[in-house]
Amino acid sequence: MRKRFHFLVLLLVVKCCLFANDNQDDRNIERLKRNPAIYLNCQDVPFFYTGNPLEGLDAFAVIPPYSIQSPEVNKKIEAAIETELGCIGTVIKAKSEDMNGFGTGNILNIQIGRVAKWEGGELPISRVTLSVESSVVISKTNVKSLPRLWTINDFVDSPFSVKTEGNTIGAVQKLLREFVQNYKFANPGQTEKPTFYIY
Amino acid sequence: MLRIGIWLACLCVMMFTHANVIDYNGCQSIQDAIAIESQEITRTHFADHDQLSQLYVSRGESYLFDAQYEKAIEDFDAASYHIGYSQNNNDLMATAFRASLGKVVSCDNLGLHEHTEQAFQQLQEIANHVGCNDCLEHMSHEDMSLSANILHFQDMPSPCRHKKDKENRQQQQGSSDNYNDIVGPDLAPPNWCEEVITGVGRSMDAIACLAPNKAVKIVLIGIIEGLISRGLKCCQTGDFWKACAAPISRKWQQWDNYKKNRMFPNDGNLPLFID
Repeated sequence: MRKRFHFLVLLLVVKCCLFANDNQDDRNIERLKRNPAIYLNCQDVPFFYTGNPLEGLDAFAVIPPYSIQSPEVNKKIEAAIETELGCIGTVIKAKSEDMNGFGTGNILNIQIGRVAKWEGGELPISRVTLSVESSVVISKTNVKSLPRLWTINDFVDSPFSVKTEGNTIGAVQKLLREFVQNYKFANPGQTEKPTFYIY
Repeated sequence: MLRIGIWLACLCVMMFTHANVIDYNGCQSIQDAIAIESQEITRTHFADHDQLSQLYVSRGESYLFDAQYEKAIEDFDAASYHIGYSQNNNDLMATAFRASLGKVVSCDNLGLHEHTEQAFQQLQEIANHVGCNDCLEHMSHEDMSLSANILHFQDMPSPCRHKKDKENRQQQQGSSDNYNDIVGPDLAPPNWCEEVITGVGRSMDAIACLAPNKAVKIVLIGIIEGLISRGLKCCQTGDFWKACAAPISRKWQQWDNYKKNRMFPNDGNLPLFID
């Protein structure tokens, strides 16, 4: 009698564990689906998680990559920025005297630059970075700061020069799309479109 | 000739500036001075960039007197690093001038001709912005020619006059400034003033970072930090945000205009970005 009772309890425990594991697996699969590039360095992929720092940010000053030398490439990058960000918000080409963009306190910064080796010299790649910076007060220290809240990188496998900077257009486009996707995830059901002031 | 000229200038600068930071009363020799300066450097907090820039320049000059040129160069480079983060705008360019001048002399004594040339070019840039108070404009034409010849500072009086004119214009503008060139709400939400200033500063950083030369970057970032610091202090006093943002905003507009014309900061055009 006691043996049967023990067997029943054991069966129940095993079933509960299996059930719990199933749920855990489902959640893990769901997270993996959302973050397909999770095997990459965390700085190079957008993460989809609750408490996303992009939540609630409704206006940005956009700083395009100033390092682009070629006017043609520059125009294409500007067009890509307008198209991609225009998918989710209102794009305003701000004049330098217009401080409305900076007053938002949020900066969407796109930078392209060379990559240095730790022992000196440069690697034959360029890094394209899209980052969102925002003014915050660090709760532990009460220090006001403008840190990077959200950032992703992409790498272009050629030295950065006038001849090859066309390669970077695709990288900028990809990062913008990832930002747009992540912004949508962080702000589901957003009624008011965000505004992007491009400088 | 160049070496003598540089030494003369160096001595002049040191006579007026060297003893400002430390009390040298107990010094019997240049080695004593170096020891006191080294003690002071180790005592100073690493983030006190104003003080450290002064101290490193002073010790660099002492090493220079003591013919320890490598050590002098190290100290002048350290001073340049701290100048980049210095907030004391009054002394910033003067300290940068001393560091640059000391480096020229040290490199020259070591026979590092390329380094001397580079340091000298930088010195020329800085020279256009240091000592441009009334003194030069009251000098006779002969005196000015002499100083220009000795130091190879071409057109030294011109930027000074230019600067003086600009200051006068700004003073006149300041008295009737309605900030029409700064677009934004008249009634600003909380923190708007600070956010405009830090945001503009960040976009200026993006332009400063395009400078190929580290020293130029340091000078420009120093200028940006100075403008941010000045602006934020103004915001804290509760002044009208456009008045607080005006200096950095106008500088940004100027830089943005250069950027639009595909003119990025470098050794040659640094005065334009500073002025």
